[in-house]
Order: sequence, then structure tokens, then C-alpha cells
Amino acid sequence: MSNRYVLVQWNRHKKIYDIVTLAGMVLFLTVYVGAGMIRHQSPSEISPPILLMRGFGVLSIVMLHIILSIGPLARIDERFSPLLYNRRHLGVMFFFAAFLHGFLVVGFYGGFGSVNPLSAILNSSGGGVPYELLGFMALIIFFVMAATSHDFWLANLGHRFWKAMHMCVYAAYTLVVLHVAFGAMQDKQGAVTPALLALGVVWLGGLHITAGLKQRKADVAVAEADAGWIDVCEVSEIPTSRARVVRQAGHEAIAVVNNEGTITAMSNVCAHQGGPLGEGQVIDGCLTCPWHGYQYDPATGCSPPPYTERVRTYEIRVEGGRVLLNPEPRGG
Amino acid sequence: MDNSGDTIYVGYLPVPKRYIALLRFVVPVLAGAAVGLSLVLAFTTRSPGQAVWMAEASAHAGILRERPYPFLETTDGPMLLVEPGKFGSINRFKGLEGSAIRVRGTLLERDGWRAIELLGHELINEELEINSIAQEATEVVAIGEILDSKCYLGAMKPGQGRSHRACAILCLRGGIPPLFVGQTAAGEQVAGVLAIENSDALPESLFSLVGERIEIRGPISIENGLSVVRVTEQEVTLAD
Ligand code: HEM
Ligand code: FES
Repeated sequence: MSNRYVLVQWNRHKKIYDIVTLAGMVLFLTVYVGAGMIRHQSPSEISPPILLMRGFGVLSIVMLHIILSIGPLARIDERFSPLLYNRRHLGVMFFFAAFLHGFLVVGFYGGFGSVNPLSAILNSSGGGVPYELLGFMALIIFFVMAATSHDFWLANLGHRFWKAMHMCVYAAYTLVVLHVAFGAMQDKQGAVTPALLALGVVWLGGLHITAGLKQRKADVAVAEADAGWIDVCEVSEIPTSRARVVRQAGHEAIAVVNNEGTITAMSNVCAHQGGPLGEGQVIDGCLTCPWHGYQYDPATGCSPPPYTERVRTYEIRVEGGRVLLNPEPRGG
Repeated sequence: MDNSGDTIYVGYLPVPKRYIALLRFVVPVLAGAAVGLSLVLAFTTRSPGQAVWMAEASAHAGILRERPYPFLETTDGPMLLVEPGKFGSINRFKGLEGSAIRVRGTLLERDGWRAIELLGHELINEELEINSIAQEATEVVAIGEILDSKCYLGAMKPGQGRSHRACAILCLRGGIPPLFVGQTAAGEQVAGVLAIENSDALPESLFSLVGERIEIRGPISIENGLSVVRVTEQEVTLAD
């Protein structure tokens, strides 16, 4: 794999993924708007643009929860990783849903008047919490993320920056929760909206904590051997074609790989989007990233030709059935 | 590539069976949850209340009243007069106080309140005899909401509350008559056009209270058939 910048690298899985996602979005909106129209009929009907605006709002927040669940779910049970494969398209489709929500709000609530529609919406809070502004700020963050989600930006912005930027999704999520809590929720009677919002926060928090604990368990507890080398584990503790991850303060995480009995070590951080290589598998002689399938030769850390990706490698010694690791990367 | 036991999922390779099994379970569950959620939300949303905006235009004759906001005094009761979009009709009717006119437009109606979105108007040469109700002012203290009459009477449903706040402020800024709807401590319904002393529209200082729970104190009366609450800016405050 490499970064040849085609607009989108399509394949069959991605197409199915996108079609299923779109169908799900249409299904949700149809049922939401349809049920709303059946439940509230003239003369007490809800204005169709408002129903649609709310529908896109709810659809967005649901999609946001799904997007944020996929990462930890795949950590907890790798069978969820097919959902991860095309998460980027899911993110872009989510952005369009959120955008349409904001667009309908600005057009319908902000339009037809004496001032510019956007400023009519954003300058309306007076004394209260400016919940519209919170939604707008979240949307801006989602826009930057969607616009820079392509590998082109990943390569040009640098890995760390890109990753940090994508961590902003948690800030944006917080803004969205506040947006609903101080906006729409204030108008709803009953406990349904607060309960659902709380459920979402608890669900995501719980998933992230569970995934973190599970990862910590799978990681190797580090014990210093001699002269800076680390005693990793027994050879037999690394399943064939798999890896174990060594994490040490101040160092990048290292994947210790068992390729048909040959133990080697390389960076745990995929050169593509930083996927966890140690959770991957050796396929056709290469450690294969569980996120999008970039591959690396366990001995050299290089992607097989014609690809040019490369990750750092580390020295390994096997002594008396134990795997020893030098945590300083090869070549300095 | 073997499809057996513990092969991981790689996007460009055939999908191992155990992944497919999970997806066959997860995707329908998500779809079902989405349908369930939209049904729950649709059936727990608050009703916007009964309000009608007639699709067809109608004509109404009456006497124009400029204050507190332009309305038509008719034998059928008062009709607030508003322009298309989020604009009041102060400019259109300047200087016509007391004139007999006929307006054409679409009727908005809720709880006995009416407004007309104007398509046009003409002066008429008729002696109109309208015996509107009048009622002396009584002091009232009530808790409720400042609404923009056009949306609340049917232009937008729902046309109240915090969700609708930005739209209501825009309407009021454009001169749509503000309406107060609320209750006294004794539980008595109070509804009246909100007239602010020395102001021919809702002043900007009160925009921040639109869509919030507020308390008003002032005299309420019926003038030429129209229920009016008269207050100063200071007599409108956030309710606690
Ligand atoms: C320009 C940006 C945005 C603006 C101006 C905006 C404004 C609004 C307004 C006015 C409402 C109340 C609608 C009504 O009930 O009539 C609302 C509701 C809502 N918004 Fe936003 N919003 C924005 C962005 C977002 C984003 C990015 C999300 C989520 C990702 C979001 C999620 C929601 C949700 C879930 C509701 C509640 C819908 C309901 O149940 O009624 N909004 N928003
Ligand atoms: S992060 Fe995309 S393949 Fe590793």
C-alpha cells in the first residue's frame, strides 16, 4: 500500500460499507419524519422543515456515537474491525448530515428576516447559554476533520499533527452534548432526551475505559534485564503470526512479532494512520495492520515493493527461551 | 489466503467467516435500534399545539388600528396584520389610524387569536359599524413567554421555546407584534399583545428574554377588541 493520491481508493468492501451506511441514514430519516407526521397531524402538525431539521440533528448525534464506538469496539473484539476499515467515509457522511441540520436551522430559523441568517442564529442567545454557537463550533471542527481526512493531508500535515487534530473530535463531541443539553432538551418534556444523552455519554465513556483496560492487560509488563535490554516474555507467549506490544514511558510502543518462530520487533505505530500494528497479523510474510491492511516485512520494517512505507525496527535476542528487546531503535 | 480460524480482517482480502457472522448480527441490530429510536423520539415529542395557517387567501374589511401594533378591528374580532417573511406592517399603515380598509391575505389562527399575512390592502368608502369589546385595565402578574405572534399563530410549528428563540427574535426585530402567553399564580390564563412603553416594537434590551420563562407585571385591558398587556421594560424579568 502507498499514498498514491486518488480521490478515493475504492474497493468492494468500501462500496458495500458506503451503501449500507447510506441506506441506514435514509431509513432513519424516513422513519423519523414519517412517524413524526403520523403522530402529529393537522392542526397540530410539526412544520416539515423543522421535522427534517430535527431528523438530521438526531441522525448526526447517533452517527457520532457509532463513529466514536468503533475504535474501542475493535480493540475489545477484533471482529468489529471491518467497521473501522472505512470509518473515514462514515465520518464524511456524518459531516454532511450535521451540515444539513445546521443549514436547515440557519435557512429556516435565520432566513426571511432583516439580518443575515447566520448572524441571526449566532447572535440570538442574549443572557442564556449560546447553544447554537456551540453547535456551530462543533460543526467547524467536524468540517476541518472531514476536509483533511484524505491521506494527502495525513502525509502533508504530518502524523502527529493529524492525529492531534483528530483527537479534537472529543472536544467537538462535548460541544454537541452541551448544544443539545442547553438547546433542544430545554423544550422537551419528560426524561427521554436527558436519559438518552446520558446513556450516550456513559456508553462511550465505558467503552473507552474497557478498551483501555483490555489493552493494558494484553501489553507486556516491562522488566529491565541487563544493560538497558528489556525482558519481554517467553517465546511461547507470542502466538505464531501474531505480536505482543511493549509500552514504556518515554518510548513509542513496540510490537514484538512471531513470524513462524522468528522473533523480531518494530514500531507499533502504522505509517499510514497510526494503526496498532501489534494487533495485526503476519500475512504472506508481512505484519499486516488491522486498520487498513498496510504491510511491513518484520525483519526490515519496510513495506513490500512497490510500496515505500517504513517503520522503525528494534534488536531482539532470544536467550534460554526468553525474548529480550533493546528499546533503542536500530540506526539511532 | 486461508479463511480459517483466526485470520484477521484485511479490507482488500476476502472477509473471514467469523467477521461476517458478527456483521450479520450487528448491522440488523443497528438498523432496528435506529428505527426504535426514531419511533420513541417521534412519539415523545411535545405537540406544537393547534394552529392553522390557511393556504387560501381571504379578504377582510375593518377599521385599521395602528397601536399598539397594526391590527384590523373587525366584526369577527381583531386580526393582527403582518407582512410576508419576518416583518411587521408598521410602515405600510403609517397614518391610517381609524381608516376603513379591506385587506387580502392568508389567515393564521390559534386559540381565538388571528393574524393575516398581507397580500394587499385598499381603503374603502364604507361606514363600518363594529361594536368591539372593551374592558378596563386590571393589574396582572403572570409567568409565561414572549412569543412572536406570527410563528406562534401558525407560521412555524412549534413556534415557541428555546429551539425557536433565534427565529422569534428575528421576527420581533422585524416588527412582528410580540405576544405574551402565560398564567397568573392562581392558574388563570393570560394572553395579550405585549405593548412596551415608548416603543413601537419589542426593544432590543428585551430580546434576551424571548423564549425564556419570564414574569411580567402591568395592566391588561381590551382595546378595540384586542387584548393588550402594557408594561415598561423594567416590568419584564426572568422568572425564577
Ligand atoms: C451550525 C451549526 C448548528 C446550529 C446552528 C444548530 C442549531 C440547532 C437548533 C436551533 C436546534 C433546535 C431545533 C428544533 O428543535 O427546532 C438544534 C437541535 C439539535 N442539534 Fe443542532 N445545530 C448545529 C449543529 C449541530 C451538530 C454539529 C450536531 C450533532 C452532531 C447537532 C445536533 C443536534 C441535535 C441532536 C438536536 C436535537 C434535535 C431534536 O431532538 O429536536 N447540531 N440544533
Ligand atoms: S493505519 Fe491504515 S493501514 Fe495502518
